[in-house]
Amino acid sequence: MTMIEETVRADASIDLRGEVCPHPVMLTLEQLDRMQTGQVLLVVADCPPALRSIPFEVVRHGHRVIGEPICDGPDIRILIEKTGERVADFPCCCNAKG
Amino acid sequence: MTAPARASVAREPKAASASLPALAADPSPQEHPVTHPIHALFARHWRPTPTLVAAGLLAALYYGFTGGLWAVTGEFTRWGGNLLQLCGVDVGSWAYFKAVALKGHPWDRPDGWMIAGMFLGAMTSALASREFKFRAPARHRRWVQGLIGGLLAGFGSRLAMGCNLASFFTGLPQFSLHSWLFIVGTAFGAWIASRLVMTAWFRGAPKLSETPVYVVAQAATSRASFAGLFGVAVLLALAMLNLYLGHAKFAGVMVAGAAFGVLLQRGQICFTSALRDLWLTGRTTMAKAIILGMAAQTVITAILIARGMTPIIHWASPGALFGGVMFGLGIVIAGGCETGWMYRLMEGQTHFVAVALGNVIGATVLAYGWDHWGLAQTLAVAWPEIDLVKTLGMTGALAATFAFLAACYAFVVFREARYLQTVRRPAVTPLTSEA
Repeated sequence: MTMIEETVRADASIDLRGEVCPHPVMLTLEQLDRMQTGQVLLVVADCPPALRSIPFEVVRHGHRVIGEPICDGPDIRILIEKTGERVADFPCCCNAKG
Repeated sequence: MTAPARASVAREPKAASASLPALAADPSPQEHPVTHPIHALFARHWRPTPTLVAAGLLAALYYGFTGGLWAVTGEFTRWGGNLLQLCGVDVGSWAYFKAVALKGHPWDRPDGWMIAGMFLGAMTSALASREFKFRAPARHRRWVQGLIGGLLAGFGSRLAMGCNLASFFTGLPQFSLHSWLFIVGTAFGAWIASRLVMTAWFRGAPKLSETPVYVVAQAATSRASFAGLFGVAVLLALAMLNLYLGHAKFAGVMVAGAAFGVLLQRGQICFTSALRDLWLTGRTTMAKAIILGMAAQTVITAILIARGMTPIIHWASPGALFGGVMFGLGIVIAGGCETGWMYRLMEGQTHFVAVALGNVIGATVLAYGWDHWGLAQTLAVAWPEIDLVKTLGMTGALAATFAFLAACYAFVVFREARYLQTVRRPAVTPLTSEA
């Protein structure tokens, strides 16, 4: 097992501990909408479904997950590079770009 | 087994000092590597489709052995009745409590033991996978949200004679038309609520830091823990007690309930997210898995009914449809359905205490209004109980049920495709499937 592989600089971090669905996913996507392409966001969450839903949703929205989600006990940390873009708001979603 | 990359917030370079305040340091060194098959089961979440197909098959077997459904809200309603009895209210004359057979205490009823098993199974699973943690909601309004959502869901599900189980996941395979109405109603209610929860009041502002943080990747270790053995010990002790007292059925349904609890927690089975994300982000993995789980259950249930078992049919009434709308609204506002709050509570999410309370109160209010406000006559009992097997024959009932499931599946695929049109992805990004 390699101990240290890569050091990544996260430009911003968002603490979503204590939030329940759908907020971890929606707040992550909205924060990525506000960032520049190529910037990296660190997400911290503690809602178990976020371990699966955040990486899945950000990749679906064209972003890149750096490495794998990190589980530190019940806390989950995810590094995301903004590479995608939402071109229009979903008809059923309110104005996500705030 | 390959180890996925793992990272933690670095202590160097020094510029990283202004990271998020309360982050834990390096992970504890006592974590065990994945070496044992049982350990591997709790090291990561299970994929939704196999988990829900397993839950569907288990639910069909549960029906085969007990003649009853895997269901929870009927028992929640009886808890409300028991609480009123404790307060000295005579509920014996309430028609709804007669309909759901309120007798004795929760520990005198098989459903009570099945639910105890579900709690224990979910707790075992959460402990074994290190997902237990007391989490208070990030903002106070979540308590209000949980209580109101729970109330709506409790009231609506009992108006329809079942929640996401008896009127949905285990109701449809019984060929009862009321569950078709409930499913359509729930999807509509979830649509209304998915717009509601995206308003500013519901969202609130997250804790954001724009100071750069340095993060390093490390080798991963397993997340499984032996703490789950505690739950197994409690379960075994209660099963032995029931066998000693001569209640073999209680022990059996409790063990089945525990299996359901483990499946729900390990698969993170969430009807709320399945219905809500359909409208919110077009994520459909869970919805498709639920449909496939119901399809598998339908096949086994059809065999059991063909061999002479009595299906459980309820009124195909406006109550089933309106109850579904209220239920869909309630679960999305609350953040969890009737089965969802059970395992989320066992993961230590205190938010779901409010949802549980709301559920019992909502179900009890419905039980009161059933005869006192004339809800039964207006919305339920005046409509026929439609058993598709009696109406269309077994072949027709199977064809109709599978056509309905196929239509649901097609709708889900359509929603996802429509949503993805609003996203521009770089060509290099691989679109992975949900693990």
